[in-house]
Amino acid sequence: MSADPASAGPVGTDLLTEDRGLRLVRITAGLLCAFGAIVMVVAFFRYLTVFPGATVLAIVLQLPLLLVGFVLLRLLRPVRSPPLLWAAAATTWGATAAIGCALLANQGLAALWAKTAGPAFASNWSNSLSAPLNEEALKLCGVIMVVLAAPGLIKGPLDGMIFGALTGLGFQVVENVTYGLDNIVQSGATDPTQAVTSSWLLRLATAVGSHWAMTAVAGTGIGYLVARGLSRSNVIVALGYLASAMAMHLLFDAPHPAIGVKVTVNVVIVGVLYITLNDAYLTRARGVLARLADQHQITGEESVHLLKRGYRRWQLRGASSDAERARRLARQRAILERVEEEAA
Amino acid sequence: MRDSNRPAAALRGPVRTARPVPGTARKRIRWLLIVIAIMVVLTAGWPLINLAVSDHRRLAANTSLMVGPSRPESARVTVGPGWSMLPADSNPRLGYVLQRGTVECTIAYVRLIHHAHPAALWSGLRELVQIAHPGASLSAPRSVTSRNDAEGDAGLVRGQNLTGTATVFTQPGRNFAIEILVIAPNHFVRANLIAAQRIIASLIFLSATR
Repeated sequence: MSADPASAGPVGTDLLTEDRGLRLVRITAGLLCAFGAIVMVVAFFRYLTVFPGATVLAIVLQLPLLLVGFVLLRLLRPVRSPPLLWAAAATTWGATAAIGCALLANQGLAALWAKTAGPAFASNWSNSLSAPLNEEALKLCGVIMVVLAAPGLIKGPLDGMIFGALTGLGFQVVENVTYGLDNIVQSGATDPTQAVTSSWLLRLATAVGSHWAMTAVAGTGIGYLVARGLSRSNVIVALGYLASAMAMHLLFDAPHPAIGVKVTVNVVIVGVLYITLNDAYLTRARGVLARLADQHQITGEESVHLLKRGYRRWQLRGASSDAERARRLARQRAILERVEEEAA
Repeated sequence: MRDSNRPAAALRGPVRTARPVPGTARKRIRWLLIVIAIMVVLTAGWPLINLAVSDHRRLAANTSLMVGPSRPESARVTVGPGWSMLPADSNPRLGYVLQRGTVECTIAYVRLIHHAHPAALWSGLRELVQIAHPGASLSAPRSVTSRNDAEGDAGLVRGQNLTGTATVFTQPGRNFAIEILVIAPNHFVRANLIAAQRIIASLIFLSATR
C-alpha cells in the first residue's frame, strides 16, 4: 500500500486546489445553515401548529426590519454596495447557523449558571453572561466564512463591519420572532396576536442598538485581520473588537441600566466607529483617484466624482449605445476595483 | 468625456496595498476547521458539560417559593417533603419546575394582557398544554379555592402516556395569574400527586398579605 514517491507531490497538490477548497467552504457553510434552520424549526414548529396566525404574524412583522435593514446596511458601504448574493449569504448565516447553534449553546450555558449559581442569580444574569459569549462568536463565524468563501470580498475593516452588521441583522430578525412567540407563553396565550404585537413594538424600539450593531463591531476586527495579516498584535486588535462587541451585548442583556441607555451606548459606539472608518476610507480612496488623475489615467472629473453612486449612474445614462454603456461600466468597475483594493 | 471612454485596461502601475497575499487552499481549510471547531465547542460543549452537572436541588419540607417579578406582583407556594427543584428550568421571576418521583409540577407566572377574562385564560392554558405536551387535552374547568382564599379554575390533563391537572389562579386585580401544571406518567404513585395538590392548595397572592 505504499505510494509512489514520484507521484505523491502532484497528487497531494491536486487534492487541495483553490476551487476544491472554495467548494468545500461553501458546502460546509450551507450545511451549517441547514443545521441551524432545522434546530429552529424543531424548537418552534409547535407554535405554528397551535398558534398558526400569531406565528405567521410574528414572522411577517419582522419582514420590514429585514428588508429596510438589509438595504440600508448595504448602502452604508461607501463607493459600492457589497454583492447582493454575499450580503444575503451573511444575513442567512445569522438567521440560521448562528441562531440555531446559539439556541443550543445558550440553553446549555444558562442551565449551568442556574445549577451552579442558583436560579435567583441566573434569573438576573444568565442571559447577559451566556448570550454575549456564544452569540457573538457564532455570528462572527459567519463573517469568517464570507472571507473564506468569497476571497477578496472583505478587503478591510469597513467591509468586515458591513458584513458583520448583515450577519447580526439576520440573527436579530429571527430572534425577534422567537421573542414574540415566547411572549405568547408568558402572557398565558390569552391574546396571542397582542402578545406578538407588543413584543414586536418593544424590539422595534430597541432595534438600532441590537445584534447588527454588536456584530458590526466584532466584524471590523475580521476585516482588520484580512487587511493587515495574522500577526500577534493584529490578532489582539481583532480580539479587542470581539471583546467590545461582547461588552455591548452584556450591557444590552444586563438587568441595568434602562433600555434607552443601553441602546444609546451601542448606537454611539457603532456610529463613531463607522464614521471614523468611513472617513479614513474615503480619504484614502480620494487619494488613489487623485494619483490616477495625476498620472492621466482618469479625468479630473472622475477623480472628484467617481466615488458617488449618483455620478456613476449619470455617466452610464449618458451613454449613446449599449456597447458604450458596457464600456463605461467596465471602466468604472476597473477603476473602483483599484481604488477599493488600495483604500482598504 | 473622451478620457472616460478609455478601456479599463488603461489603468497602469502596481496596486499599492498592504493586504497580504490571499491564503492558499490549505490555509482556507485550516480556517474552516477552526470555524467548525468553535461552533462545535459552543453548540455541543455547553450542553455536554451541563449534562454532567446534577439538575436536582432537594427542597426542605415547608420551603416557600415566591414567583413573580416583584413582591406586589408575585405569589407564594409552600412545598411539602420529598420535592426537588430543577434549577435549569426554574426562574423566580417566571416560574419553577419541581419533581417528586415521576410527578412534575410546573409553576408559571403569567402576565395578563388587558386584564384577561378567566375564560380567555383557560382557553390559553389549553393551548399551552398542547405546546408543552403535544397530543394532551385539558378538560373543562371547575372552580377551586386555595387554603388562602385565592380563587381559580382547575381541570384534568389527559395524554397518551400521561395524566395530571392544570390549575390557574388569577390575582384579584387580574394583572397576573399563576398556572400550575402537574403531570405524571400513567403509572404514577398516588402519594406524589396528592403532594402536588398540597402545593396548589398552599398558593397565596402576596399583594393580598401585609
